Amino acid sequence: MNKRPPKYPLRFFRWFCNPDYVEDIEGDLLERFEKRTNENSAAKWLLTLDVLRLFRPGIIKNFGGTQKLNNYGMLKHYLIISWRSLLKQKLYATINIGGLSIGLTCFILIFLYVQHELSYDQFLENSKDIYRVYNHQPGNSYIGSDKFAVTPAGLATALKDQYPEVVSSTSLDHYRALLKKENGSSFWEYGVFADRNFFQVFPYKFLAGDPKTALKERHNLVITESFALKVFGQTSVVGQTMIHNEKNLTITGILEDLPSTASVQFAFIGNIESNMWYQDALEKEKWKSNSYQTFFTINQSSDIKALEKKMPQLIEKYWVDTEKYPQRYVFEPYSSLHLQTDLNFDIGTKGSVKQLVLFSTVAILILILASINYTNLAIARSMGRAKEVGLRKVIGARKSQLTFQFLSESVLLSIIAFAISMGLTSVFLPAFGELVGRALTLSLAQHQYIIPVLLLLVVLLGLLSGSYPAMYMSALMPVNVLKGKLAGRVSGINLQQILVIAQYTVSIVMIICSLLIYQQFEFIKNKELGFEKDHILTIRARSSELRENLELIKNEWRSNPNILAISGSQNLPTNIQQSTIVNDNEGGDPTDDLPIYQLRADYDFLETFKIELLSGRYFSRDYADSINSILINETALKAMGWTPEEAIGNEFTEDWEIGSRKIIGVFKDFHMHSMHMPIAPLFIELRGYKNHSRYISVRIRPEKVKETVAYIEETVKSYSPYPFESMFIEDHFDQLYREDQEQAEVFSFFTVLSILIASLGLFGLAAFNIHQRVKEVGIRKTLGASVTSIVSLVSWDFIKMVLIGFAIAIPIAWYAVSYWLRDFAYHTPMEWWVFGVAGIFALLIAFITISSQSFKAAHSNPVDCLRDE
Amino acid sequence: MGRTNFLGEFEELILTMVLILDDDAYGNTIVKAIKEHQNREVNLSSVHITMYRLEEKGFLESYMGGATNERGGRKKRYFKITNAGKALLKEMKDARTNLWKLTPQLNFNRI
Repeated sequence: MNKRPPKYPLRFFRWFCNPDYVEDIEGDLLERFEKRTNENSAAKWLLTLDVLRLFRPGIIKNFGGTQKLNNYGMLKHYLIISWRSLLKQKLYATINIGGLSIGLTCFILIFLYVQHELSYDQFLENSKDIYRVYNHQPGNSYIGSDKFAVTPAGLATALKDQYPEVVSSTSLDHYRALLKKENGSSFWEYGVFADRNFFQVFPYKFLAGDPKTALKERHNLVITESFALKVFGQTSVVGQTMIHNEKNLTITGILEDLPSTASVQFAFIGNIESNMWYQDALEKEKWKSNSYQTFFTINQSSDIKALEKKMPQLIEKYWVDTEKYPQRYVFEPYSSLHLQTDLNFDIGTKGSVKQLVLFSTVAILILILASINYTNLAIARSMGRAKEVGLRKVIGARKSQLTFQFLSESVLLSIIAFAISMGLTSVFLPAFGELVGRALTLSLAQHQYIIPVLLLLVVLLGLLSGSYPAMYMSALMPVNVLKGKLAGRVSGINLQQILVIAQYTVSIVMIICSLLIYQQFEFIKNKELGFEKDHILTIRARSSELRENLELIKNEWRSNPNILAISGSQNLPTNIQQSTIVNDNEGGDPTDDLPIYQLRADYDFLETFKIELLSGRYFSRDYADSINSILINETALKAMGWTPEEAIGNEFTEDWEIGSRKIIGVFKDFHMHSMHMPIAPLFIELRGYKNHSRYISVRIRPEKVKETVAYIEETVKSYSPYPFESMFIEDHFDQLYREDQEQAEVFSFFTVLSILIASLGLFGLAAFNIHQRVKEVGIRKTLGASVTSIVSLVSWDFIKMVLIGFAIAIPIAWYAVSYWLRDFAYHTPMEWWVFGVAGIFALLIAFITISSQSFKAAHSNPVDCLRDE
Repeated sequence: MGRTNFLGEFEELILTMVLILDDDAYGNTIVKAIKEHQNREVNLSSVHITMYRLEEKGFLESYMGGATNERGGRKKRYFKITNAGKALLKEMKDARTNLWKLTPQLNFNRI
């Protein structure tokens, strides 16, 4: 007979039983067991049964008090200790949480921005099936790209007819147009003009009307809800009329307003078939020109790549002269419309991938800086808490428990910082949105996953930044710590120093980049453009009445003493858009073809913009100048290999146009695009006074600008029903760099933040370090050290780190800036003094940051710190 | 009678048993005594719980006995009734007697 009691039930009993009672109850159990084994073979089972019966409230350990079934008590204790140690060292807590909050706020802001940019054009239920066609013409580079968003009018129909994979297709155009109400009020809004299949491809949500028939007729018009409210004050306006180009359009549908993540924004959709150019192009037997956007939807089961491979045949079949103008069609998902910036003549608001990458990098860097702060300060603080660790170990804390304690502390801190940064984010989001030009919102309904994702990130951040201090602290030897051995300074390069160096490296890189970016903008601003930039007012001439009466208006304006010169032109000198290909020899070798930009301007263009002539003469009313006379710029001259004098009288042939063009003059180069683009060959041809000019430029006297502009506006308005669109050429110029400017602004903002965060970290570290050395300073002072020597003694350690950071930063910054500058055809030289200035600036900031602490130490009375020894 | 002075039937039984067993009152003996005197099977666990509860209420007090070779060397927790416990038992007994006195004698005889 086995007399040994069963092991497991007893072990179970010991586990759950209130320790006060374990001994006597277990004794009772065993006594019973001993008695029973002699009379009952099932004694073991009876004991088990007894144990199970004992598993009841009153015997089980208490949940409250000091006896617990779980670790809540310890967690609670950790929480209290964390909180107390924060309160005890308010300065470090503030620096820690503050730095982390700032870093997190930046990160969240940029996260929201990036998320917004990536969420464009996904609001339609079939967004994934919509593709657009663009046109790649290798070699035919135009303003930096040989890809074009425009396609022939007939492409949409051809795609649908030829390929069963294509479910529906549409041609469209997107521009600003003038719509009038019957009572005469007019509205100048962006609209889409599309063929009748538009709503098959884009199933926008209708509030009223039938998508199938809404665009069936040429005079149909679909408008958005908000536009209906704006025009009519109500939304039940189906059947009402609006006037466009003197034609009556009937409203057949009302659309729900578009979300802000629609890259192509519009107030209305008209039928493009009412456009005679479109009809003309459509009826042509062979395709000749690219003017319209083509979108189509594909069968979900079909392969888009396979379809794309069939395009060369389509081109062969429909295009004229495919040999002369090689091209191919590329399909691109609708959802990438927003971030596709490489296409000429593209539609919709654009975001830049480059900018997203730049911003994300900066956001991550700032976050790293902030978590480095945490790590650094935590290590510093650990000196003060070494005794706590020692004591815990003596009492019996395991290493894993200590690690857990410090990790939970850092997670707690980062969660506090997260809460603060969510508040900060909601405060700064509107301003940030304005800076990047997007209506950013933080709505939890729209971004359900944002909080969990961020929270996860924050916890990870807490773990990451807390892991080193936690490991370091938990590895302390209790004997040493309690003896006070750790109080000494750690010498040599340690992690803390490396982290400070890393922080300063990042900050200095950002300072240098900001300075050089600023220099580049100064360079652009001050660069000789080759034309007059100041006090030239430009007016967009949309109405044909205005264009046709330009000579009349010019004569009228000339009588105003404040108006110095007037010129009408196809484009402004800041942005030349037309281009063609010429040869200096009729029927000549195609390898001599010169791609050249062209500008149509009237007699007064050169004078208005003060562009200098190099040789020959400009158009003059005194000569019989016709469209065949041209002037070329220096770059074209160099491309042809002529001297200015040789060029005069030479001829260009242009193969599809009017025959030969005679060169009557050469003018000095001017910057005809942004400085991202090199100056390219250009010729100016004459626009006769009956010809249309899209822009009217007026050079006015710098005095009385307001009056003059008002005077011009009055005249223009009497000829044009369109709103008065005027802009100084300077503003056109600034517009060329708006995206760069935006980037620079955001970047410099982050630079300031990074300096701030790094300084916070340094400040905390310095304060701590000096606190540690207070006795050393006291002794030095007693022995006669001067204030200067003490300040330099305690500052030097930190200055040294900044210097090392500076040395590392130089090559990184140099590389980063030269990468950024590569985007500009004309850029400022990278001067060494900029690097020097950045270094001195960083040193200065570091010194100021430390000095408040070091001076305090140096001026302290040694008695105060040595007395209690 | 206040709340704390109220005893349940089982509590009263245990308290009485402790009083009866005098110097030898601990879990097992009480179970055994109840079996002997009342022919009633009770769980060891309920006996323990009740005794701890009574101790908390101040009607019992306990002390650990010395270790013996029996029962795996575990000590016994002996219980002793306190004065308050004795007073309460007596009070309850008197109260019951008083109540019995109030029952109609006739009916009682008829049974």
